[in-house]
Amino acid sequence: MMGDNKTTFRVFTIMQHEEEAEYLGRMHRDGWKFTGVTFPGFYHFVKSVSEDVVYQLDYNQDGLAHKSEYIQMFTDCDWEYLQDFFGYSYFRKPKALMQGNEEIFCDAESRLEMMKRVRRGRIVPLLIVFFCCLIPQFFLNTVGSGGSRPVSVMLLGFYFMYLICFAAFYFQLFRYERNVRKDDKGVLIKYIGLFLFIVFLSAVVTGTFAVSFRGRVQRDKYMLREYENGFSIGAEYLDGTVTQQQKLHKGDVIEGSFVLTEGNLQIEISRENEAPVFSKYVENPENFQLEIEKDGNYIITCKGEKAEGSFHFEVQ
Amino acid sequence: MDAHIKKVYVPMTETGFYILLCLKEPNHGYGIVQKVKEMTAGDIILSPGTMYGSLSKMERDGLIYFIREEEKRKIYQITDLGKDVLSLELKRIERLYQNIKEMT
Repeated sequence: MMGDNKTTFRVFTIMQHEEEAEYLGRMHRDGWKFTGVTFPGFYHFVKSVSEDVVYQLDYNQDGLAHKSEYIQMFTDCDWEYLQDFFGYSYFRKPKALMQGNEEIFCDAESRLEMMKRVRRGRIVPLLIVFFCCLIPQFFLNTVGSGGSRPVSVMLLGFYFMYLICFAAFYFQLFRYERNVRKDDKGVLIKYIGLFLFIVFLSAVVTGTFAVSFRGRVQRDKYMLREYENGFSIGAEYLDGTVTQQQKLHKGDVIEGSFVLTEGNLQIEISRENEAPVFSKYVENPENFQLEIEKDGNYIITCKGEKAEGSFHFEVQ
Repeated sequence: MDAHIKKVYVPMTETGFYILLCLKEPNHGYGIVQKVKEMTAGDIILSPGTMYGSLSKMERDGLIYFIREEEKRKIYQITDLGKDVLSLELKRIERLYQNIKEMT
């Protein structure tokens, strides 16, 4: 029947298994009983009576390897096994069958143990990819020869994505570990060390990126000569714009002559605060003449795109 | 007893303590849950996730050993190492108890 089923899309990251379980419990209280989750994050529900049901997620690869004994243990304790999804097992138990509050873990140690299993199963593979592929690739593309700019920008993006993921996980792990060993200074020192390492690595990565970025962008290099009735530019490399102002009268003729040996050059001539009266991509070689129809202050703009050559303007 | 075992199991969690105590006789996870519930008049209900994780970890560390499987339930019993760990814990608890008594 229509309206009896519902599918939502949610993304819960590795460290949000508690939020995910709470979400499923909330839905059940709202009269939507969870029926399953499918890739990449579709949660399926069926309309049912509102009930207080506790949902829980476990991550236990050893349990999945010995599935029947693993599930039996939960079933014996009245926890209904629902499914596996990317290494996580989903369970639920109605509040009515509980004495007080029950979860699938009853102490801080076993909650920490689960986080450590998640680290082994999910975070360590990511760390290997991070340190053995991403970081070397990043340095090859920034300081190495023949690196590509777009690729290094992309890798920098990945770097921060991974970093946010790791930071969130290790922050969570820190919270769990603090719960177990409340006054152990070692725990705090370990995580402060980790934090400083992350800051250091980020500084090296972004620093490398910035330095390589500056090294790659060539500075504009040109000579501008002004004469009484015009100016000329001798450009070795022009990627920006050069503007000149010129007072012109009706009947004046601007003569331009250009030799372009590399790149592109666009010329614009406009009366101050008005739309251009002349705009042109320079062909090579090129000469043009433009007769001025109105008195006024004119602005001549040369917009280069990695341009090399000599450009000459003269007013007759 | 090596340093790792001492670091991880001394002092012990309540769950760990009850598992070792109950496994002086062969038993499975759910059997331990029921027995602990009985022993503590329903105060302590061990959870299956904790139980499964602890049993596999203790088996790995050699504190308990797997005997056989019965109706999809693994039956374990304590090893000599497990007994040593348990007696260390018992001494610790005894001392706590003695000290409390002396102070009050």
